[in-house]
Amino acid sequence: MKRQFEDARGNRFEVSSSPAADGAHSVEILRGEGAVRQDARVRRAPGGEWLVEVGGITRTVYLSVGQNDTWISSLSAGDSLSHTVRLKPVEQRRAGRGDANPTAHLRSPMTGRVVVVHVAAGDHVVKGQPLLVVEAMKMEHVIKAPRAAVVLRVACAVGRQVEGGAELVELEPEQA
Amino acid sequence: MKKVLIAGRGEIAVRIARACRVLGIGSVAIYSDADAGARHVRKADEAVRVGPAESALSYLDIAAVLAAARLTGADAVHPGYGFLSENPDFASAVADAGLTWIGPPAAVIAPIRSKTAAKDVARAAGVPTAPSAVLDDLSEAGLQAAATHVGFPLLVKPEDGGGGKGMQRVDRMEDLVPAVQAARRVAASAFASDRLLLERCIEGARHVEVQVLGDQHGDAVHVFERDCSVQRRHQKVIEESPCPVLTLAERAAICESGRAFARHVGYVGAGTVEFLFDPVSRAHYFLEMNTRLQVEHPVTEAVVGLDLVVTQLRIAQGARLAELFGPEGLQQRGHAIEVRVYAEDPADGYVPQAGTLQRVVWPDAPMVRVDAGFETGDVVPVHYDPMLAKIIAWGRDREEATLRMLAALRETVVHGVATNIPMLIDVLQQPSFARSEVNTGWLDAFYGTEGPGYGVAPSDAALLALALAGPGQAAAGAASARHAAGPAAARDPWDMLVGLRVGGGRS
Repeated sequence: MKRQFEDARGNRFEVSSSPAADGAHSVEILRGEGAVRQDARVRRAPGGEWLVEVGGITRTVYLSVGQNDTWISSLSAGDSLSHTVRLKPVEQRRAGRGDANPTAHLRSPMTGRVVVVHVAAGDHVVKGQPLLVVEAMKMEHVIKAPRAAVVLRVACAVGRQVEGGAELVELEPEQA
Repeated sequence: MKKVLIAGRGEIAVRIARACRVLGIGSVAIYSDADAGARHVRKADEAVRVGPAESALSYLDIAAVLAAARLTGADAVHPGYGFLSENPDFASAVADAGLTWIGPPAAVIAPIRSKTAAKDVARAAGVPTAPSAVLDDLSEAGLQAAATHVGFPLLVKPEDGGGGKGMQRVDRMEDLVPAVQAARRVAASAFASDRLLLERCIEGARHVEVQVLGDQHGDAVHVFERDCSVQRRHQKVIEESPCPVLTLAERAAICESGRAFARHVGYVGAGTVEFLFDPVSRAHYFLEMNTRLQVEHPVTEAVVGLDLVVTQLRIAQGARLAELFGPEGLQQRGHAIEVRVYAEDPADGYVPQAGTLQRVVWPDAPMVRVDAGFETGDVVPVHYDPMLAKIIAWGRDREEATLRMLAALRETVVHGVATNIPMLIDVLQQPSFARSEVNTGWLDAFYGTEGPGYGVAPSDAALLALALAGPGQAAAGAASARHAAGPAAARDPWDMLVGLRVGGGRS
């Protein structure tokens, strides 16, 4: 089965696997233009890490599968800048966008106070345009439009305390 | 002193509980509903709920905190940092309740709380200050007179402010009136007072601060300096000791300024006197005093070999500094660097992240210390500061400390929330950082408004694991692996080696 994942910058990675001899799997990795095929075995270590073996060489990978995101870290010196990568399954993203249109309701990333509101109902906004500013713990956070949209409703006011997850603005996405 | 109530949360509450344990003193954590099972609750001897998630109704509720002390029979209060730590009303209330306050008395905090009052105290103590003026006369002539006295470029600052909010730089007289009007609006909406002050802007200044300790017998010492110039939007990100650019004479002068200020105000406990250091004129200027333990105190502990929190407790018990440190006093040795690991997304304007930490592996290496408020399974609440942990690395010199820190960050794993670790790794590898050609505006200028993003691509090993154990694959992959291998799997040396079968019932 082929599965596609996307990182925070929109880079896509496709992986697929099929059983091979001796409990190994033949795995195809597609990144950008190049595809690689490797015979690999994977086992779970007592601490929960995954031990990935290719051609007798084992590397350790930390993998956590969450509701929306999959997190992977590999610490082997062979990885030039080995660190944590956050990936989203591509199918899941499409499904999420289809049902409740989650990008249409912008929610406060944290509990704080609304200090600036730049927009009003009816405004057309472009992708990345600052909509409002929420302040918490001396830090200001600019809430930006995720895409071109029309502001349907501003659900908060300057000076108001907002809970993390509270709706701030409702947007109707515009076709680019 | 038999039992200390710790009026904070997160890593600092864990840190204080540990210091209590060193001295055989009991510890009491407090928690809001959002922190009910938090690490600081688990690491203290006892814990008491003080209210709902909202800090105004829990960690900031003086009556609730004192009730927790009464319930547990605590006879002292450590305020940690943040929350009520610099609130003179809390210090008074603790003393009025007959409890020992681990910090400076309210009478010491009150006169230096406002920036302008603290500057007056600094001048009286013979500590250098940058030219400044309070704006009492808001007529155009009054503003011009004040600006001429201070000199350009200058900063317009809300007197009651913090974190750089409402602060504006003005380079020319004609820009002064609009800047003052804008700053007044911000001050009036964000702070208790709309009073403003003008202060000379020291271009390219570094943030250098001096750790001080005062005892209850009128003695005060400095415990050397820290450089906290790597800041993001006025919040410290990387701190170190010693300051890499000071000569011996400059270090002695700035540390003596810190000690003189502490002695002048009759300081008791641990505090920090903050300065701006001008790398061109080589002068230092008093900024303000923080009358509490600082987040970055471990770098001082690492280079001096002194437990500052244990020292705070001993001072509160009445110890004399002369007895604590003996005739040989304190020395700086080697170099220490601290990074703050925040749950925030540098690829998305540093928006704070909240959620469950699915996996956390903190580094565990020689000369590396981790002060963490969270571990695997903990929830990062949306309600508070998003700092997860501090990592401190020591080296015989700065380069060694930097390499140790990079190695420590590369073996740190945090899954469940995005962190600033990729940014920290990137910064520590910059030539400007290696040469310490940084100032308080450097990091923001370096990354611009967008942040560093993520420059890391998943390795082949990571993608292989994803293919065989990722979402929708873990059960299927494991089952088919065993199925395909058949009965031979039990004799597979690889399987024996690991001792745990994927998806199997036996471990």
